[in-house]
Amino acid sequence: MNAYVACCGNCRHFAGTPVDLETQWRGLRVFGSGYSSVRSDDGICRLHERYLAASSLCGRHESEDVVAVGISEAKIGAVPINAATADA
Amino acid sequence: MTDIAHARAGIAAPPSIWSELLRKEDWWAVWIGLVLVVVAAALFVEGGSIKWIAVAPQKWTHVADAVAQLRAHAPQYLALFVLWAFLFGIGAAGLGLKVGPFLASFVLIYVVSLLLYFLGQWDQAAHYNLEPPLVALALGLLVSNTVGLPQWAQTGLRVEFFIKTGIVLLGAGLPFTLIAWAGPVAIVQAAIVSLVTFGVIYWVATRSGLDRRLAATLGVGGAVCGVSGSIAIGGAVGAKKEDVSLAISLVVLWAIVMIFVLPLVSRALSLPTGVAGAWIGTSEFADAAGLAAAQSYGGYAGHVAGISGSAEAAVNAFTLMKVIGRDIWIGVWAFVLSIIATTRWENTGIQGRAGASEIWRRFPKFVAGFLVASILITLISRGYSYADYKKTVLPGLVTPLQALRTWAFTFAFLAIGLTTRVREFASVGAKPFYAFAAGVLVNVVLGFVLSTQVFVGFWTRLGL
Repeated sequence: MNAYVACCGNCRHFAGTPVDLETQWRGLRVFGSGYSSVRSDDGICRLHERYLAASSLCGRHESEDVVAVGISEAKIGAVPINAATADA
Repeated sequence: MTDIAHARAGIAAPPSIWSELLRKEDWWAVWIGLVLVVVAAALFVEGGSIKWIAVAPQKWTHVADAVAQLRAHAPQYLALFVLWAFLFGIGAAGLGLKVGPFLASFVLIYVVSLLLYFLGQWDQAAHYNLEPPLVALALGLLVSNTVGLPQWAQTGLRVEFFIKTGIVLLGAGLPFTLIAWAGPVAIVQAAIVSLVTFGVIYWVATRSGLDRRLAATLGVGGAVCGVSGSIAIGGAVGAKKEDVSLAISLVVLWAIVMIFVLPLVSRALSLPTGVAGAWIGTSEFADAAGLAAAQSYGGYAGHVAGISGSAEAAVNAFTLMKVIGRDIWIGVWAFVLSIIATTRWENTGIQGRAGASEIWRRFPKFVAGFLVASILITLISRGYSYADYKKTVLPGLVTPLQALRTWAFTFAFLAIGLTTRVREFASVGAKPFYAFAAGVLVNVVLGFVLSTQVFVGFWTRLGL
């Protein structure tokens, strides 16, 4: 069963389509591409103004489907690093 | 702990790997390239060939000769256009691009590429430095930075799509035994240069007070694979949006400079084609830029006194160095730096959770197509003696595929110039510029020493 999983990739602040990226960075198309494998599913967080992996997460995640993630921004910062990166 | 567990249980299930097969440009390049290789191989095995449709201009002296050639082969050029438009059109549809504007734009790209391809076959082209990649780039830069192109004409300017398709086709002309023989040396040389270049850019950038995420984004852009490297690392470490923009601008700027500088310096030094290709593969930043430089230099072989080696050697050495030596490691760089960013660098309030699967997810998949094409043609060629290979396999199978590759590359070289609009690049600032420039300097010098001194015998033999 595919349960909803909160992540930047399904946050309303996240812009991760190829068109989003190529519009944001006009030079991207010269020697790169929004459609390339190397960028995986990364996108731009309009809230933090950062370019992030879709699997990232912060305490201000917002989705139309699920709002309560049960994790605060402070606690995100306190997540033990090894635990957070080990098997993502 | 409950919250942490919740967060970990809630780690996003990434999009299915299978869905990537249709939504990523790398895979479409693989499909298009391999369809052409498989059809060519099947026809060859049955006694036929694709050489009728894989038409390419031949050497000419007077304009009237070129016109006569064009008239005589007009149906073939038209059929080739239909083939490319069909294949790239399907790919464009798969990527979600608007097919109508894409095809309209592709008509323009094809016609101009045809003229450039013909220009390159002029017997005085090398004398006047009129190599098609350089002319395509210069022409494109001139148009895009002066009169510009209408919006519809820009849809088909997909540099990476064309160049990746060309690289898959390039695999058909590169025996797998050669890849196995030369690959390890390419990896060693590329690893030395990549690590040193990254170290220099990162060190200068951080010593200048720049953010470590920006330093890493710049560093991998300069050390591994240009714009692709910068966006892969930018996403992996969570760089600021404007930092990625800055890295893209610096990479494009230096990559275009190097397209002209590296072949000119190599020519001045009369480097053998294999050696020059290895140097370009070590010191250029982007595949398309490096292939433009390498193909230009290969064009001097046999036309410029003092330059030894075959034309193919420059492109082959470049590809081994850049694609096998550098590109395929981007996922590893991204994975390692994402862990360092999460564990060592300042907390941004955003939790990166990339795992080892990112190594494959970010792997440039067109490399897989390149290797499959090489293996397939190598297997077919296995039963032939060298004399029979040159008499039968080369003209009936390999040369037509190389002609198609040259077409794909020409589309890309033209698109580079037409998509480069200088005024759209971010203002880079002095510190990032100096950090990147320091890396460029070290990269170019170290790449030159390794290619022309340490491994010179190896790269020279590749060109024989």
